[in-house]
Amino acid sequence: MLTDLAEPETTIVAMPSPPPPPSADRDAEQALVARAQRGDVAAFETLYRANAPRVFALSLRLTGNRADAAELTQDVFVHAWQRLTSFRGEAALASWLHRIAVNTLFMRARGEHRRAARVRFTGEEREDDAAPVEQGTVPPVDVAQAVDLERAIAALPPGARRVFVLHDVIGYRHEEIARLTGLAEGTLRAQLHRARRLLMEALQR
Amino acid sequence: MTRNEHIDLERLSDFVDDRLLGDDRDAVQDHLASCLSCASHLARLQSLLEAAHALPDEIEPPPAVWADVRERLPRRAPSRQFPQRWLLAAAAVVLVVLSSTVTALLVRRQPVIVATKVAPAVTVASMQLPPPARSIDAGYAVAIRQLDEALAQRRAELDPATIAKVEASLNVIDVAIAEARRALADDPANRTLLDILAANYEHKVELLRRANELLPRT
Repeated sequence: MLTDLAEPETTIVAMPSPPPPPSADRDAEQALVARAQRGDVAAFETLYRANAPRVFALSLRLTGNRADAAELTQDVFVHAWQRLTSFRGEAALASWLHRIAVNTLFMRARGEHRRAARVRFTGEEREDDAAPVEQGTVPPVDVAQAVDLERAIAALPPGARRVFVLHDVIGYRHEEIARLTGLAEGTLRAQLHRARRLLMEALQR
Repeated sequence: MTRNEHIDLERLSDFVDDRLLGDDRDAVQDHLASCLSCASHLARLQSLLEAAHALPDEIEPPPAVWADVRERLPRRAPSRQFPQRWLLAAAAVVLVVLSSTVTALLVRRQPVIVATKVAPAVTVASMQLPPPARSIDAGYAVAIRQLDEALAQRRAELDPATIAKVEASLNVIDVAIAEARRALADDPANRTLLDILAANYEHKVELLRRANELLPRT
């Protein structure tokens, strides 16, 4: 699994991705990619300008705040530059960047989870990636100020937010999310139900 | 679930995700048909999912993000695969021809007209090429056309021997380009061939640019 995360181009399962650009745009994009692959930073900046808003939107929804989203967006493009020669142009660049963003986030989340696990007392559960959450045991979430869906999504607990964004905003299937997150199917469904319930409550106020 | 028992959100979620089968699904459908409260709950859930799906795909990042990315980019070019020996040799031949041409042009010696005989290039249609090769073709087409036109307009101002030398070198490069394109049509996934194709185009642009620089300033 970690190989998939480190090498997004090796991902086997088809993932939802942005629609492909028109063929003329695609040709122009590939010309820019070819230049960037040869080390042309100006070409890479043009690719950044065209793709960063989409990567940032995804990053913002997955992380829930602008500072983390900006950092994730940076990581995505630095990683893309480093791996650009492995980009074969079979898919649109936006799809490739999309996979890097999702993989980078979950690699980071797993690293944080492992670090947290080392200092956690025995029996103490982490809030966001915990086992299935039963109705009535949801930790209090501050969604009082949520006045629209974006803000309500940002206010969700991290685990529930990521599953909701991947499933209901982007359109990943359960098995794809399970593979990315390492969550069991039951846990994943519980997180999704939890996110939907919290959002419906927040938006009803 | 009895007919009077309301459907909880988890079950409704599974229902809208099409994860209920057979009797389970029929029971939920029957209940929804007769329970306004659950039907309303379902409508709210569906409305939430439609709104989530309709969120904008793009949000402009803070302007500082590119500056930070630029700062973190390694100074070297992205790593590349090492070309095969025969391809290196082919590239070296092109470089030797170019170097001697450019040197001759720059020192303005009376060049010897070299009647370079090269095999006619095998033409490969653009559609036979993999997309990355087509994009390399397209990426250099404009620059080459402009430099070609500029040189053609003032061709008479150059020494005929110099023109002959330039054309001979261009001919060699064009053959190398055609050979790389033909090889890519046979082996579309070969990244080294893409590198060679791009390098040959670079050489062509460089030679045309140098030739244009030799023209007297107007």
